Amino acid sequence: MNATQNNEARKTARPAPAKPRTDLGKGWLGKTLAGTFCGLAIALIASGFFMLPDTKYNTVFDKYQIAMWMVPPIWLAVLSFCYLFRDALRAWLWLGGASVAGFALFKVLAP
Amino acid sequence: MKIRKEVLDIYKAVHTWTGIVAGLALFIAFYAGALTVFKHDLAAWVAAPVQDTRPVDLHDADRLMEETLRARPDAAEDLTLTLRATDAQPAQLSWQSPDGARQYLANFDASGQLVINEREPTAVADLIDNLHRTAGFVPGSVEAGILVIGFIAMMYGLALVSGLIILLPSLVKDLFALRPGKNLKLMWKDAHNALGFFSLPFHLVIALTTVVFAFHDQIYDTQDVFIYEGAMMDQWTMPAPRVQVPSLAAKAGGPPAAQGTQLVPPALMLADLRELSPGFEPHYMDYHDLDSERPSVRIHGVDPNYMMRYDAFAIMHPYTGEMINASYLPGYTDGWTSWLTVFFALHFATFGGAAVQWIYFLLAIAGAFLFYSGNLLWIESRRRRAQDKGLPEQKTSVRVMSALTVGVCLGCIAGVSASLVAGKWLHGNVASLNTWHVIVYYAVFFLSIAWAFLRGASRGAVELLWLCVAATAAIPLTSLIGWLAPATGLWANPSSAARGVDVGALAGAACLAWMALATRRRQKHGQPDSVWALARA
Repeated sequence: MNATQNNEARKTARPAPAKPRTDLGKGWLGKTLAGTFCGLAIALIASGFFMLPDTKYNTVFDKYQIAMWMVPPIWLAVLSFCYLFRDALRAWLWLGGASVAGFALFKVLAP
Repeated sequence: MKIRKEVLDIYKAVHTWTGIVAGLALFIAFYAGALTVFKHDLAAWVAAPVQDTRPVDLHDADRLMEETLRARPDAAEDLTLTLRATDAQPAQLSWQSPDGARQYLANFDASGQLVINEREPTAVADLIDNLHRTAGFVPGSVEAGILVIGFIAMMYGLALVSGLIILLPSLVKDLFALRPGKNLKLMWKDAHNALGFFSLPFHLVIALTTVVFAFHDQIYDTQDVFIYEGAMMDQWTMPAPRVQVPSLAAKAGGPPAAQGTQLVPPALMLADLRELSPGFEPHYMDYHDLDSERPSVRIHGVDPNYMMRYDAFAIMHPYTGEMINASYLPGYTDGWTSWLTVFFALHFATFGGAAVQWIYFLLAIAGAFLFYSGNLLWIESRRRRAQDKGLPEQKTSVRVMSALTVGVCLGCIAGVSASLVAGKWLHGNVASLNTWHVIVYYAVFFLSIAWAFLRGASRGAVELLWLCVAATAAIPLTSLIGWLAPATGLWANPSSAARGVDVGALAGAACLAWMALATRRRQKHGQPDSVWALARA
């Protein structure tokens, strides 16, 4: 196929039904809330995993302070990228699901 | 880098909204933050001279403390032995009234008698710091203001991430471009992007550490419930790694040192610290709860060769001389604690000495400009442009935002300078100078905002810039008057810290005067449909 044909093919392909553009701004409030609350929950759970196996009878000095320090970066990361979900419901389901599953797993693993 | 348009659209919206909501508060926090780097020098500039500045004889310090405690048992809770005098604080023994309004200074006079002097200590260092930590939100409640700033800092973090995302597609093309010309928005955008991108690491560090400082209690409380199941106290009270103190090492193995009623001579503790950490320069010793079961003394100081948490310190037992916690003493920080010192030092510029302090000062001023230019961009992209039928009436949102930007930013600058100067002019005429520092700041700040609304952004900007020039130039002028005419009751402290503030203020006033002239020029010769043009017919 030469270049002209290639262009022809592209031209004919263009009018094909364009994929409807998703407006990610729709549901921004719901997404922001999901990112804020679930992001905080996920960050706290991550700090819980970090503390394993020292949540009790810890012998590592100052480790618990690092566990506090790691919460804001993870929180901000989840909040920053929650807008990439197609809508607010999906944001809540994914992030909320991750929070619940993460917390359950933490409780199983925690001493 | 290619990013889908709908992704760019949402992050543009996120950037605009977080920026416009948080920008003005961040301007204040950054301007005051830049000054916080030098807060002790500002306090040294304003502090009234103390009559008796004779330093405590360190070899007599334990006797001085014991006699003081006999005369004033209420001092046992919090007693400070200052080792390095500044204009604001002589190298004497001091403590404060419970509300912090009065300070008592103790020393022996020439005949060896205990003398206690009382005064109002200057709170300028703390006031600048509080303005930085709260952006002046919620006057009267620092705690509430700090929580507000916690949320502002989250928005700031979100603005950084979204700003980076929307910059990525044109990063290579635009980063080194600065396009001055008729399209003002393009020029401001180039400046905003270049500044934001190159100082991004600094801003990310500041945003995240600020969220930690604002919410650490709440995060710990939540972790206590969900992670430690109520047992966080065990983590909190875990003893620090043991460090043997040299002067006690000889007696090691013998019976444990008796917790006598005799204070260990401060000179002995300092000698121990010198041996443990030779580069550590002690500034003051903070004795806590001397009359309780758990007395302690924190020896604070600096060692610019180390990353420090706020400053460096060691906690020792004042009656036995044992080391309680050396984990922040330079050379004795290890494990997770060394990460903590890095996090703190990166926010407080407590590493590398004066060079890093000046870099942080400039980064913070540049940060303040980043937020200011962000607001300008918002205004430039929303203003109505001139059509053929004359100059348009600007939208209310544009008028309000431009007046608010001018009033808040310039009001903060003028307010801080005026508040500092007031400390000298009102000295001796008011009951509490520290109260008046706050009153003067808020008065100038709110009147400036009102002025910007009353006169409009354009005229208001020039007039308020001249106010900033006047208030800031008054700092070195006050020193000059104090030096030439001491009869006025004004004074100029001779220390290099106080002189440095005079020089810095003079340079600042010159910058502000240049800005005032430039703004005036734009009023007259700039684009007539700009919000910065002089009032139209």
